[in-house]
Amino acid sequence: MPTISGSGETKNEHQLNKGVWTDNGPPAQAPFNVIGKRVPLKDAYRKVTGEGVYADDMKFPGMLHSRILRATQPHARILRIDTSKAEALPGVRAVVTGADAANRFGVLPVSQDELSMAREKVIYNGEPVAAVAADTEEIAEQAIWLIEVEYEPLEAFLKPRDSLKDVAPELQLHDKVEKKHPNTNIHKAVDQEFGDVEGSFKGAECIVNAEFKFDGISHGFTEPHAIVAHWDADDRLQLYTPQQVPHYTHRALAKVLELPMHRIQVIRTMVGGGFGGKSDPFQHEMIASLLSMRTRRPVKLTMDREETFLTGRGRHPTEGKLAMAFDAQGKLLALDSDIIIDGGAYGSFGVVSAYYNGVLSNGPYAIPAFRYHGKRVYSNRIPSGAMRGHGSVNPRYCTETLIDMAAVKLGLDPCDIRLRNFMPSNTLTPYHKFRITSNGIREGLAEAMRRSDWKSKWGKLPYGHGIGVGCAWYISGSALPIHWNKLPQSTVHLKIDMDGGVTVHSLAADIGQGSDTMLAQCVAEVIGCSLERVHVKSATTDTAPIDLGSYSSRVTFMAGNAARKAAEEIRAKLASAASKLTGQPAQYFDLVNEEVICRTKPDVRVTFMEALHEAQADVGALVASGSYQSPPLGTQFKGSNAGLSPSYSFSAFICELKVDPETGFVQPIKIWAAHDCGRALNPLSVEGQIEGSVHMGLGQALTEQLRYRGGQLLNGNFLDYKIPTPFDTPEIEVIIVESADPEGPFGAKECGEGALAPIIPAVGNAIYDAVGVRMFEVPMTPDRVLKAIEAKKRAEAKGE
Amino acid sequence: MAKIHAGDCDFLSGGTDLLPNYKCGLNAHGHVISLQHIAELKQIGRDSKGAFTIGAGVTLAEIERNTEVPRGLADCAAHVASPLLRASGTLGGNLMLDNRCHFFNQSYFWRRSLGYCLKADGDRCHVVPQINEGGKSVLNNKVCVATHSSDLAPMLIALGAEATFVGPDGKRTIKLNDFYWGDGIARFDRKPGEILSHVTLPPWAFNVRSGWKKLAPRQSIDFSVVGVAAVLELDGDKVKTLRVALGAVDTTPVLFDFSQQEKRREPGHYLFVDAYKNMPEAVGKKLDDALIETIAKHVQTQAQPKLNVPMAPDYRKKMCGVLTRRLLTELRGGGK
Repeated sequence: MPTISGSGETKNEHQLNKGVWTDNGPPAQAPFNVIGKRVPLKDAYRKVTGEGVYADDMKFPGMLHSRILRATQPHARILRIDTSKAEALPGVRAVVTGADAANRFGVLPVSQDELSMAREKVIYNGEPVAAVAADTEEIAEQAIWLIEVEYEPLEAFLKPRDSLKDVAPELQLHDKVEKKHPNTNIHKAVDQEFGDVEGSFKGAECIVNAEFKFDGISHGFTEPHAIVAHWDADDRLQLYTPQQVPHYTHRALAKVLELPMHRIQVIRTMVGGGFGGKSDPFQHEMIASLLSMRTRRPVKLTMDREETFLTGRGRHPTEGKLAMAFDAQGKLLALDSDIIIDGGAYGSFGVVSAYYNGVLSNGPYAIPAFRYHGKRVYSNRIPSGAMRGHGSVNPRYCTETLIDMAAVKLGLDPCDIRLRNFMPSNTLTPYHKFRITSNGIREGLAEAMRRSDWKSKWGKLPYGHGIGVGCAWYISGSALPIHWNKLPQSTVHLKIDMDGGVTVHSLAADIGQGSDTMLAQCVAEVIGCSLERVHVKSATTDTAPIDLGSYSSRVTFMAGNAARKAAEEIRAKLASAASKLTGQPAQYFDLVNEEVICRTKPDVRVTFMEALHEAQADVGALVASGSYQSPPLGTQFKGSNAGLSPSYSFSAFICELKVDPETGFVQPIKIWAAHDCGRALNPLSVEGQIEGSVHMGLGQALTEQLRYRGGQLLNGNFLDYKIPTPFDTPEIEVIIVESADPEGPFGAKECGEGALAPIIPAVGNAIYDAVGVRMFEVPMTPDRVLKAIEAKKRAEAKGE
Repeated sequence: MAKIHAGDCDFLSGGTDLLPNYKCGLNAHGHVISLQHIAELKQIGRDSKGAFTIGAGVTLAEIERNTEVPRGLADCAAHVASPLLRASGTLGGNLMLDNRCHFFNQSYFWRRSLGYCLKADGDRCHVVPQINEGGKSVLNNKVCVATHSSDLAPMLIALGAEATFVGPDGKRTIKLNDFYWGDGIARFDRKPGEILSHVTLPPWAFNVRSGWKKLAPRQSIDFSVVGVAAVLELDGDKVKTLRVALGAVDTTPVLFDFSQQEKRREPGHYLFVDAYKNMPEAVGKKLDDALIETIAKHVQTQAQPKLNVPMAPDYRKKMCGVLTRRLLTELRGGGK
C-alpha cells in the first residue's frame, strides 16, 4: 500500500524515511541515506542572499543595451519601415528589423511559424517589429520610437470562433494551417473516437453536460525575460538566457542565425521562475543575438513586465462543451468533449496542447468510451503555449464539475462516485494504451477525506460554507522527444577527481523546482557520499550532455534516472577499489555515509576518500555517463504519441471555503492536497511544489485573467493581473502519497504540475456545496459568482 | 522652487503613486520637488489650540497605528495598498492621488497603440466616448471620467476634515469636501505652487462612530474599486448625524450628508452624480433595518461607477449598497 505523509503530520524524518512497501512490491532500495531527506534546495542561499546571478545582473565590458519596437496593431500589413532616424541618434550602435532574419522557428518542428521580427505583416499587438542596440537602455528606448512604421490594418481575429471561418488567404495568419481546414485560421484539429460513445449515452441512466469558458492566464513568474547575447572573439555566440529548455533554443538559434550548433553556446542563467513560460525558443533571443553579431559586442535585453506578458505562452483561453454518461451506480460510461483553444499568434507547443486537451481526460478515471473534437486556432492575440499542467487543467475542471453534477443527480457522495471510477494501478488505458504504473489516488483521496472530516461536512455545512473535491493525474515526462532522433532524452556525466568533489554535468534546467538538488541527491545516495560533496553544473551546453530540459514534468524521472545510472558506474569502481584494498569481493561492499563497508564483515571498511584514491590509481579522475530513454510505449494511430509517459502522477484535493452570497467573494479556508509522487526524494521540495501549485491554481480559479480591449492586453502588470496575495491564500495541508513507481528513480514520479489542476474544480465544487450554483466560467470572480447566485434566486422565485 | 519651475514640477512625498506614473510617462514634469525632509509636515496629534491635526507627510502606517484618531480612519489607512507601501505612502500623497483609468495607467507603448486619451497626450475619452450636449450625442473630448481612488479622502470627508494649504500667497483652510472638484483631469482645487500642510479633524469627529468598507479584487495591494466611509451619531436609537462618502465611483469622492449641512461642489460637467437628488430623510428617525436599507438603496442608486478600473460597473454599483448597509449595521451595533 502507498504510504502517506506530509505537512499536516509529524515531520519526523525517521518516520518519513522508513523503507516502505508499496502495492508494487519493495522499494528500489531502502533504507535511504540522502533520498527522502528534507534538504534545502542547493541554490536557496544564493537566492535569498542576492548572490544568485540573473541575466539582468550580468555586466560585460563594452556591453550594449537593447529595446524592442513592438507592433501597435493586432493585424496589419507593414507598408514601410524607416529606421534612418533611429540609426542617426547618437549612441545607437545597430538597428535590426525582420529583413535581417528570414528563417522561421518554433519549439515544435511541425510549427515553425515564428519570425525573429515581423516581416510582411504583424499578427498581434506586441509582436516585435524592430530592435535597437545602444550605449544605454534609455537611448535604445528613445531610438525605437524614432523608427517609423506604416501599417495597413487588416481584419483582426480576436475571438476563437472567428478563426474557424473560411477566409481569404491574406487574412490567414500563417501559411500552414490545419490540412483538414485549409482556408481557415485553425492551427490544429484533433478528432478521436473510441468505444461506443453514442450507444453509451443512449443507454445511460445519468447524462450530464455543460458549456465551459476559461479566460487566458499568464505564468506570472517573478523574473521578466532578460538575456545577454555575446558574439565573442572566437566568432562564437554565447547566449546567457534563463531557459527551461536550453537545447531547443540552441537548435532554433542555429537555424535562424544559420550557424552550426557548435558555434553557439547557450548558458542558462539563474531562472526566476518559468512554469512553462520560458520553454519556447524566443524572438528576443534571436534579436539580441543578431544585434551582437552585428556589433560584435555583448548585448543585454531586459524586458519590462508588460513585454513579458506580451511574450506570453500562458494557458490557452478555452471554450468547451462536454458531456458524460453514467450508469445508475455512478459508473462512468462515456466522455464526449468538444473544445476550442485560442492559441494566439503562434504555434508554440500548440499541437501538443490540442491533443492534451482531449487525451489527458482519459484518467484518473477509467473511460470506457471516449470522443474528442479539439481545435486549436490562431488569433491576433498574445501567443498561448505551455503552462504548468499544460493542456490538462481546463478540461480537468470540466470533467470534475460534470462528475460532481452526476453525483448530485444520482444522490451519491462526490468522493464516493470518484472512488468507484478510479483506474487501478498497473494497467493500460483501453485505447491510448497509457501505461499506468503505481497509482496512489485512492489512498490519497481517502486520507484527504479523513483529514478534512469530509463525511461530516459535505452537504451539511450552513449556507455560504462549503466543501468540494477535485482529482487529477498528469504525465511524468513526455515519453517522446519533440525532435525525433535516436539520442537518449537525458544524459548525465559524472566526474570525481582527487579532491573528492563530485561534479554532475547535466542540461536539466533548474528553474527553481530544485532539479540540481534532486540530481545531487540521486548521485549521493548511490555512491554513499554526503550531499555537500556533490556539485551540479547544469548551465552550459559546452560542458553538459544534452537533456531535453524542464518541461512536461520530465526532469526527476528522466534526468534522475540518468544520474542514478552514471552513479552506479562510479559506485562499481569504488567497490572494486575497496575490494582491492581489503581483499573482500567487490560485490559485498555497500557505500554508505562516506564509507565503503563490507556487508558480511562490517568492521572491514575503508573511507570514501581511500576508495576514491585507490580507484584513481593510473586513470586519474573517475568519469561516468548515464542516460535515460523511455521504453517503447503506446500504440499505433495518428497522434497516439500524445500523452504517453513512462509514468503518471495522481492527486486528490479537497477545498473548504466560504462564499459571501451578497458580494460573491470566495474565501478559501483550507485545502487538503494529496498528491502521489511515487517517492518524495525531498519531501521539503515536494511540499513546496504542491503548495506552489495550489497557490497558482487558486489564482486561476478566483482572480487571474488576461483582459483585453480589442487586441490590446488591458492588464499587463502585476497590479492589474491579480495573483493571489498571502491574505488570499488559505492554509494548505499537503498530503504526500508515496506509491513507488517501478521505473522512476528510487520510485519517484512528478510533483511539479499535476498538483495544479485539482484545486480549481475543488473550489468550483465547494462553491456549489456552499451556495448551490455551478460555475461554468473561470476565473470564478465575485461578479460571476454573484450573477450565478442571483440567477438561481430568480429561478427559485419562479418556482423552477 | 515651485515658483521657479511653475507649471513644470511635481511635489514628491512617499512617491508610491507619482513615481509609477512617471515611469509610464504619464504627464511627467521636468522637476520633482521632494517634501520628504520637512519636519512640520510629519506631526500628528493635538496642536496648541487642542485641534487634532495630521500633517501631510505622516505615513499611512503611522495613521494606521495611531490610537487617538477615529477608528474608521485608522481602519481605512490600514487597508490601503500593502504594508510596504503604507510605510512610505503619506496622507498628502493619498489625498493627491492621481485618478485611475485603464486607458490611462498604461505604458507609452500601450497608449500609443490605443491612440492616447484625454487625460494624457490625447483628445478623447475611451470610457465615455460620446456625451450629450444640447440634446445631441457628440464626441467626448471634454470630460475625463478617470476614477478617484484615494481611500483616505472619502473617510476624512465623512469625518468633516478641513485641509490647510500653504503656498506663495500664504495659508488657506478649506473643507476637504470642497477641495475635490471637477473631472478626472482637474480632480481638485490646488493653486499653483501650493502644498497641503495638514488636515484638521473637527471636535465632533471624536464623538461619533466611524467606519470604512473597501471592495477590491484581493485582500491586499489593490486599489479600492468601491470604498464606503460612514460616520454615525445616534441619539438613543435615532439618527443625529449620518454622513456617508463613496470612493472609487466617480472623479472625486461623493459625500452623502444626510443632515444636508454640506454638499458636494458641482464639478460643472455632464456626468455629475447628485447625491442629494431624492435623498431620504434620516435625521431624527429610528435607525432600523428598513432605514438602513433605504439609505443603502439611495447610495447605490446615485452611484455611477464607470468601466475604467477592475470589476464591472454594475457589480460595483450593487456593492455600494451592500457595503453601505453592512457598514451602517456594524456602526449601529457600536462599530467593530
